[in-house]
Amino acid sequence: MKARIASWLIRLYPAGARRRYGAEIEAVIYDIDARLRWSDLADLLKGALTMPQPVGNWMRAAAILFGTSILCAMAGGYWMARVQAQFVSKALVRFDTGSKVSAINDRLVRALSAAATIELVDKEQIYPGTAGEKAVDLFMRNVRVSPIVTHSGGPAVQMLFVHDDAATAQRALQKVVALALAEPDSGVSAYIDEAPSFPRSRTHRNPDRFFAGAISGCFAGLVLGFAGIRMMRV
Amino acid sequence: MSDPTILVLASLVGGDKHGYAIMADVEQFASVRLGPGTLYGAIARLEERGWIEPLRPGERRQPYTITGAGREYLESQLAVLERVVKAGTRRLRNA
Repeated sequence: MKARIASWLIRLYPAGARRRYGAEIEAVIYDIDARLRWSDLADLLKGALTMPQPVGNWMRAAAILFGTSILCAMAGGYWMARVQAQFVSKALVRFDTGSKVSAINDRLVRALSAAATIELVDKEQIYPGTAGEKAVDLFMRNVRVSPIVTHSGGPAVQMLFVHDDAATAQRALQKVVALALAEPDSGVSAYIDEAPSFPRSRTHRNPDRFFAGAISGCFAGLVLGFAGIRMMRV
Repeated sequence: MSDPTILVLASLVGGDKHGYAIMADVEQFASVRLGPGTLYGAIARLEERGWIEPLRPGERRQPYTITGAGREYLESQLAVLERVVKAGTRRLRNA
């Protein structure tokens, strides 16, 4: 059985090395015969992965790697560019330094409760064609609230909302912030940074999707290329 | 002392041998068992550098011989090793 595994492992060697040394290695395996150990099989596998390659084979392997990475980069970039761009709306909400964390938390939980958001989602048509709990689910999946540290001290949260449409992303976030501010006061006073009269939110397009897709595709292509080189035993 | 290239050269300097004979010889004089993958990795490197060469190419049990360059390389490596052994032994005695 070990001899059979050994002859299978020899097939994993790069084609050039297999042509040059394959028969010799088989002869050595035949000579070792009953003394063949599992460690010898592990050694054969290690040899298959580290065997020096003739220059011609390296060039062929490099061409395969280059080709697969370029193809996958183009495919990844094209695919990502086709997917609709998403927009992220951001707002920074600061609270007075005396505000209790639990009170801030209660306020945000109430503002983002299903009961509070269902009205907002339906009224503002955040997801046209989708209503009720499904729309609320979608909404909740795209809202992010995270506590942050500010230079001036005092508690603050960053609120993000992601949507396919830039205007909707901004409008929805403004409404969420307004909901949070409109909550019955429980000893917490809050305001929006740099925009005392009305919540201010900024909308950014996500980083260029084509390049993100191309870079991911390039890495995937390299992995595929390596796998291909091994499978084709270049 | 586990560098397979040096072990293979040290084996071949004692006479031409094929793969299995090199393995057996190394196991006997250095108590190191070279696996077939390690052995042929070393043979490929040595051949590429011109330190060994095959005799009667194409045979299934291909014998190899050490070249002049291989002999010079082995001598230089063994000289380094000898210095290391001497220094190490002296320091052990003084420790």
